[in-house]
Amino acid sequence: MKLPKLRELKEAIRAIFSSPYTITYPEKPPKIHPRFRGRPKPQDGCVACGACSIWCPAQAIEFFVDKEKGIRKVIFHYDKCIMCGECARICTTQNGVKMDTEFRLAGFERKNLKEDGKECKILFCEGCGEIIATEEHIKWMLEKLGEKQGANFGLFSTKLKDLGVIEDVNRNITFDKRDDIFTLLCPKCRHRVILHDSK
Amino acid sequence: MKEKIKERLRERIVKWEEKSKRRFYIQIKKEDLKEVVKILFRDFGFRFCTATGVDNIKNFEVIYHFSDDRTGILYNLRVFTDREKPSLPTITDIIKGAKWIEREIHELFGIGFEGNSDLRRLLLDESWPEGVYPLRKDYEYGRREELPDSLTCSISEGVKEGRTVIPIGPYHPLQEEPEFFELEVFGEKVIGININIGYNHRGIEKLSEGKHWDQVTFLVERICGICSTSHPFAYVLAVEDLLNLEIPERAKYIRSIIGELERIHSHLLWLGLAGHFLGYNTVWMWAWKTREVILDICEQISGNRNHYAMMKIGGVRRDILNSEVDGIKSKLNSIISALNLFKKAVEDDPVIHARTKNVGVLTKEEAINYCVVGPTARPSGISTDIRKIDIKNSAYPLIEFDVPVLNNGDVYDKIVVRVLEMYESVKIINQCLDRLKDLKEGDICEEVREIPPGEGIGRYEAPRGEVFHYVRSDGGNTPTRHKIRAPSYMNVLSNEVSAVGGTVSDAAITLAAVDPCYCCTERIQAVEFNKVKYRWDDLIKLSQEKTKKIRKRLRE
Repeated sequence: MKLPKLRELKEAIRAIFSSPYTITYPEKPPKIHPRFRGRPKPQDGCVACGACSIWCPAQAIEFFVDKEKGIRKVIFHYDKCIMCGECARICTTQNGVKMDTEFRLAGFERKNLKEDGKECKILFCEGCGEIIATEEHIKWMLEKLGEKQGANFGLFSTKLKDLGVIEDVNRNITFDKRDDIFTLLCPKCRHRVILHDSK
Repeated sequence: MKEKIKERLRERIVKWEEKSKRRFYIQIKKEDLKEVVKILFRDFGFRFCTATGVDNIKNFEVIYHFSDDRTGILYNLRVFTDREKPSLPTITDIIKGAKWIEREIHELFGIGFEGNSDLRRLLLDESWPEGVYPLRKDYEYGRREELPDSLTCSISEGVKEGRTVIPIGPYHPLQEEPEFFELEVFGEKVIGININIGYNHRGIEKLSEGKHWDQVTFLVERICGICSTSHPFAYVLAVEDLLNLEIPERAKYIRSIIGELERIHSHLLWLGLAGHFLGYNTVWMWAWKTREVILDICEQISGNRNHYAMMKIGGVRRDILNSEVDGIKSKLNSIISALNLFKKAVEDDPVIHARTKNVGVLTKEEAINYCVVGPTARPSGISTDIRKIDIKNSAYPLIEFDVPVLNNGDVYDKIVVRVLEMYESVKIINQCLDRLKDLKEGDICEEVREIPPGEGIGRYEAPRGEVFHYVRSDGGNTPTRHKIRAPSYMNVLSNEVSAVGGTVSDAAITLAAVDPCYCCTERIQAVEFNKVKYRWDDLIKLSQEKTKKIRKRLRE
């Protein structure tokens, strides 16, 4: 009976003279490892491609498209998020979403528990009006292509427009003249222009 | 062994398939089922793992999984039944541990079991419509049933004169999870127990059929917060068994490290709770303080304290940096002094002895009959550990460790087994970390593109026992069938024998001694009770008062 008590007494005395193991939480910040997976935080490098929203195991990422305003963005819903970090792993640019160490995500209303990604401008096909991609996505892609970026005239002209080298002109696309190749087209229309302009 | 079985069964075998070295599938006729089960279970001494129902659209298939615990080979009996009037002979008269699985297959697939009179609902809500079977393929993914807002259930039907029913649960702040025990008592003695589960049913097996192979790892991780790496571990092993894939060596070590860290923190959590139930709140606080060290290591390696998200088909998702290995090791070894404290406290504290020795005894025969697994089976003298026999893509075959086995089967032995297992886990992690240093960083994953048609079984020794996952693929993006069996599914049922015959004040620790984890495939429902006599907190109070009395007696 005595021996175990003595042993526990030793531990108890040691506990009295050492500082408390717990922290006074809201006042003092907790010790968090820098690699801790808190929430996924949208970054400026996002191109609104929507890969993360397709992949998310919990379907917590909404893919928001507004055709009238011509914007597209991803919305992270933290009420559904399971903090697995897959969006950061799968990210096209590897720079669009990063896991940060913030874990205090509680709130009073579900609909407020979200954060919008970067708003990106959609590029529409000048032929049929379909969505091609976002401007940021195209620019990121051209950057990756490097010296070969001139191959697609239409896409390259977007960049030139951005640099101020060329101006925005309203063109009339008829799919039968050589000029159409310089317009911004979706893959289907581009196919038509390149292969079928045999008038 | 294979030849022996072939000879014994002979003309009963319709088809013998060998999917891999350790997975044999035996197709038999349903008339022969009882006979064959008797031969495998009684004569060959195989352990019954679980049964899987599959809807093949043209017919139903039930696979009975038997494990040979000496060699780690799984013998799977495949039985077909037609869709019109699906029925199979029951095996509960041979194996008591099959009680729940037959009830489950009956409610989820609508397959009847001839000779089984107890086919009540197990997991589904009582208000769920009759004749709707959610796991059949004609039940669309995402379909909802309209359920009533409230439901009143009454207990204690058919209780004899002079006996009382004590309901424990299903909801109480002191219970970690919703579960519901009805203890039938005579005076202070427990004479019967009825266990109801299913309050946490989330339909994960059905959900899994609508997710991509890689997304399922995150789904099964959320079956349980404590064994959150055991389920993905078993799942990826099942898919790798289907693919016949060997993963890089570094990934094997990382998998084992995470698995063992989880075992230590799970056992420490249980030890703390056991102390709390016995009235030792100091043990509770100390055990959980030590547990924080382990959780910090988990956070450092994986980025989270509990949901690690480390497992991936073909390897692991994150690497352990070689430069951090020494730091992790010194942190880990700092808990050994705390483990020594617990070990000695259990060894020579007379109060713990008085409260736990010869309490809640589960004999070896009953343990075999109820097919219990893990730290519930090992104190009863059954030396089964999946880590020793059947985990291909992990570091366990490459390193040395022991499996503690004891013989009394009481609560005391269950405590001792868990304490000793923590020492083994520390030993395993230390060996794995040492080997990691010799291996190149970064080589942690094998690329997996497509999952071909086939079936696979993965098993892992979770802190509570064997986790069992069965997957079937038709070559598509999602599994067509994913069967999950958690260890508590087998262990909780054994309370039918271990709690009966004891006193009410011992019931709390006996029920807790199997370390139950009800999270595993359950549902939500609100129940109202009439005639509530004791509640769970009363029961804990009763248990703590008994400790006080014993302490007083020992002092005199």
